[in-house]
Amino acid sequence: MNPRNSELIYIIFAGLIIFIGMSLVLYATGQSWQADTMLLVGLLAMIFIMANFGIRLLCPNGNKIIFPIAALLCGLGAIAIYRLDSTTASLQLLWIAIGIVAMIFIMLIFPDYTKMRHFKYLTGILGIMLLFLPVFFGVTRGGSKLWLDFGFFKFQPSELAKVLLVIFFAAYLDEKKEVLALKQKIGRLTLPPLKHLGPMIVMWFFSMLVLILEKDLGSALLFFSLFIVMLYLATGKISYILSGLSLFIFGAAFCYFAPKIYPFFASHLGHVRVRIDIWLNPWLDPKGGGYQILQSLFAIANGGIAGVGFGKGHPSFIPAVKTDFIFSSIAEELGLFGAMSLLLSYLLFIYQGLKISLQTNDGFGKLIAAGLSFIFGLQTMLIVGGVTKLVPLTGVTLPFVSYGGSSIVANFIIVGLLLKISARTSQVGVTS
Amino acid sequence: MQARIRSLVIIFLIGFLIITLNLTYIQIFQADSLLNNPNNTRFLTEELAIERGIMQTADKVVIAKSRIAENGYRRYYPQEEICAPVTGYYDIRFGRSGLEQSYNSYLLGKAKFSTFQEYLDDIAGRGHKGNDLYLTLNYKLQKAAYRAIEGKKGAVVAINPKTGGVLAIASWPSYNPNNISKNWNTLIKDKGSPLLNRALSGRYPPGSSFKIVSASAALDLGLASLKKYYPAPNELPVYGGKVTNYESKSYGQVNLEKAFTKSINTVFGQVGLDVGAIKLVDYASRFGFNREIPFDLDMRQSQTKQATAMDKLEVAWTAVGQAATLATPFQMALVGATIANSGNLMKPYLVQKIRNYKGLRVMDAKPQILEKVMKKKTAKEVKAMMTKVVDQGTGQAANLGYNKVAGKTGTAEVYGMRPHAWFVGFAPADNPTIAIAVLVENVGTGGANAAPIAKQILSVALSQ
Repeated sequence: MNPRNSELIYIIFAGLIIFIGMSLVLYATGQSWQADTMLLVGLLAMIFIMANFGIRLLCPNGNKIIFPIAALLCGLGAIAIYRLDSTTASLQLLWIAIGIVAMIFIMLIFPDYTKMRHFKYLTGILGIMLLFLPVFFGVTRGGSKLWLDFGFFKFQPSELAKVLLVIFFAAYLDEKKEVLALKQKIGRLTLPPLKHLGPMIVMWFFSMLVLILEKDLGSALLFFSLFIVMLYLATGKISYILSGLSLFIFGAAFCYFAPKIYPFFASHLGHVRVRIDIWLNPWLDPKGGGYQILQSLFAIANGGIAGVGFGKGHPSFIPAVKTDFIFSSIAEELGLFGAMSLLLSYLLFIYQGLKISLQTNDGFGKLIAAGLSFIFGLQTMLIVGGVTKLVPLTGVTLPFVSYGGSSIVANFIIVGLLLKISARTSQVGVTS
Repeated sequence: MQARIRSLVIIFLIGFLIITLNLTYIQIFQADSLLNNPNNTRFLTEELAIERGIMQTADKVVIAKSRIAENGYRRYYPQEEICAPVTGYYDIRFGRSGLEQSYNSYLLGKAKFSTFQEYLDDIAGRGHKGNDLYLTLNYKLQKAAYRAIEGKKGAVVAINPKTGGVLAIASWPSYNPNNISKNWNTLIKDKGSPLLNRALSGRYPPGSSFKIVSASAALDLGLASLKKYYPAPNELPVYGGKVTNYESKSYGQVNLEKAFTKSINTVFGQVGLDVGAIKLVDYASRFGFNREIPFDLDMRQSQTKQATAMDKLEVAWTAVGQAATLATPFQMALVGATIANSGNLMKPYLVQKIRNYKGLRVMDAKPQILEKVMKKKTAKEVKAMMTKVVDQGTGQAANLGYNKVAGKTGTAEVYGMRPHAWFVGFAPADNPTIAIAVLVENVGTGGANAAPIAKQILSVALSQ
C-alpha cells in the first residue's frame, strides 16, 4: 500500500484512541460531549489529516509510522491537559497546529535536506545563540532561566537549539570524522589528537555555562551527551565516550561539592546540589523540597496496575503537572499498563528514528537521524526517570505530551527532518 | 557506523526496560507503603466528605471529633495541647499523626464493616460515618500529667500494669492540633520540637532507673539477694576505666537493698559484671528493649548496646544505666508496670474498643501477656526495694504515705549539660493500679525533679 495511505489509517487509529480517551475523561468528570470538546477533538483530527496530505505532497515516500505516533502522543497529552485545565488545552492545540506548520515548512524549504550542510556554521552559531539567549533576555521560572517572555506567551529557545545543534554536529562530524578518528598514544593511553579534543572541551565548557548561567541541568546534560554520542557515532572511538564521561563526572562532582566549598558557586550551582539531595532523600523534607517528587510517587503508586481511570485521578496535587510531571498524572490514571504503552510508543518512535539512520546511506543524514533520535530518547528517559525518582529531576519536557509550545514545535521539526531523511533513502533505493 | 547505531538501539531498549521495572516496583510493590504514608494527603479531599469517628477517653471525655465546615468536615480537638500526643493531628496538607494516622482507616469507617449495608454504602461511594475509638486513656490523669510537666521539657507515661491499658501520655512542649496548618512553620522551626512526642519517640539514657532491670536480672538468676553485701567505694576500677558514684560518695559495705535505695553505682557495676553482658541484654530485651513493641501509636525502639560488642567497663556502666543505653519514657513505664504486675509485661494498648456510629461492635481489645519477664518472687523482691526507695531513699519526694508508692529515681548524666531526671514507679505498692514513668530533660536529679511530678499525678490517680 502507499505509505501515506497506511499513515492515514494509523492516524485514524490514533484519533480513535483520542476520542475514546476524551469520552472517558468526560464520563469520569460527569460531563458530556459539548461543542468545545467536540471542537477540540475535531480540530485535532483535522490538523493531523491535513498534515497527512501535506506529507503526501512534500515527502510521499517518508516513513509511515513516526508521524502517527507523534499524533497519538500529542492527542493523549492534549486530553491529559484538558482534564486539568481546558484553556491550556486549547493553547496546546494551537501549538500543535503551529508545530505541524513548522514541520511542513521545513519540508517545503528543504526539498533536499542535504543542502542544510551548506548552512552548518549558520545553524551552529544560531543554535549557540538560542541556547544563551535567555541569559540576557530570559525570565526565571522554577529556579531556571530558560524562557523568553513575549508577553502573551513564553518561549524556551533551548528546545529549538537542540535541533539546530544536531544539524551542525552532523555536518561538522561528517566532514571531520576521518581526522577525528586518528589515534594518538600518550604512554599506554590512546587518546584522540589533542587539537581535535578541542571541540569537546568547548562543548563541555558551553554545557557548564548553561548549567551555571541558566541553572538548567536538563539542557546542559542533553547537549553534552548529544555531542559525545554523535562524536562516537561518527568516529567509532570509544575513547571519546570515556573522556566525555570523565569530564561529565568531574563536572557533576564539581557542581555537587563546589557550592559547599566556595560560597561564590552557592548561588550559581546550589540548585544542582539541592536537586541531587532531594533525589537522594526526598523524605528529609516531605512538605518542602521533597514535596513535588513525593507527590509524583504517590500519584504513580495510586495508579497501580490498571490505573484509577482517565479523569479519576488527583493530578492537581503535583506541582508542574502540566509540564514536567504529566507522566505521573498519566501513570496514575492509566496505571502500569497505560504508562508502559506510552513508553512503548516512545520506544517505537526512537526505534523508527534509528532505523531511518541505519537505512540511509548518506553520512550526514545518518548522523542527523541518529542524533535527533538520541536526543529525543534521552530527553524522554530523563524526564520519566526523573519523575519516578530513578535519576535526579531535570526539568525537561516529555516530548509531544507536556504542555509547551517550543517543545511541541521543536519535536515536530524533528519529525519533519526524519521524514525527509527516510524519503531520500527510499528514493535512492528505487532508482538504484 | 551501522554497528554503533544498532548499539544505540540496544542502549535505549535497556534504558526503557529499567524505567519499566522501576515503574512496576513503584506501582505494584511499593504502592501500599506509599499510599499509606502519612505525607500522602491525596485522599484527604475524599476523606473530608466523611464524618470521621470520635475519640473518647475511659472517663467519657471526647478528645477528637469532626465538625461540619465549608468543604466537608473539619477535625476539632476540644482539649487542644493536652491530648495532642495521643490524638495527633489531621490536616489536608500536613498529613496526620498519632491515632489519626494509625487508626485512619477505622476512623474513616473503611477498615472493617459491621454490616453488609455499610459495605455497600462504601463501594457505592455513598457518604457514611466513621467508627468511634474508645480509649483506655483517663482524661483526668492525662490532664494532671500535662499540667505537672507543663513548662518543663519532658514526658509522662502512665499505664494500668494489670491490663497494659495506657492511662496517660503527656509530652511538653506540645502543640495545638486545631491550628496545625496555621502554625506549621513555627512548629517545625521551634527549637523545643513541640511536634516530637517525647513520651514515645524521645530516647534518653535511663540512668539509675535502669537499675530496676539490672537488679531483676541478678535476683532472677540467683546471682544476688537483697541481703547480699557488696563493697561500695566511691569508685570501682574496671578493665581500663572506672565506675564512679554520683557526687563521688563512698558507702563502705552495703547490701543490695541499700545499694538500690541509695542508688549506688559502684555496687551495680559489680552486679552488672556478675550478670554478664549477654544475660543483662537478655533481661533488658524481655522488658522491651531492642525490639518493636506492638502498640497503637508509632514509637521508637529503646536499645542497649549489643552484648557481644560490650567490654567489661561498658557492661558495668550499662548495669548502672549509662553507657550507650537509650530508653523512651514509654519503655520505662513498661519496666515499672512489669514489676507492678508480678513480673509479667502486658501488651500495651490505647484503644479499648471500636464501635460504628450505630454503636455496633467493630473491635474489642483484650489484655494479653506480652512477656513473662521474671519469676513472681523476683518481682516481689524488686517491688520491696522500690517501696524502700520512696519510703527512705532517693525517691522520698514521691511519698504519699507509708508503703503506698514504689519507685526508682534516675539521674542520667549528659555530657556538658545538666542531667535528665527520671522517676519510674507504681502505686499502690501492695496492689498497683497505675505504673508511671516521668522524664524531665536537663534539670538535675530524679529525686528532686521527677519524683515530685510523679507524686502529683499518682495522688490524682489514687484519689479516683
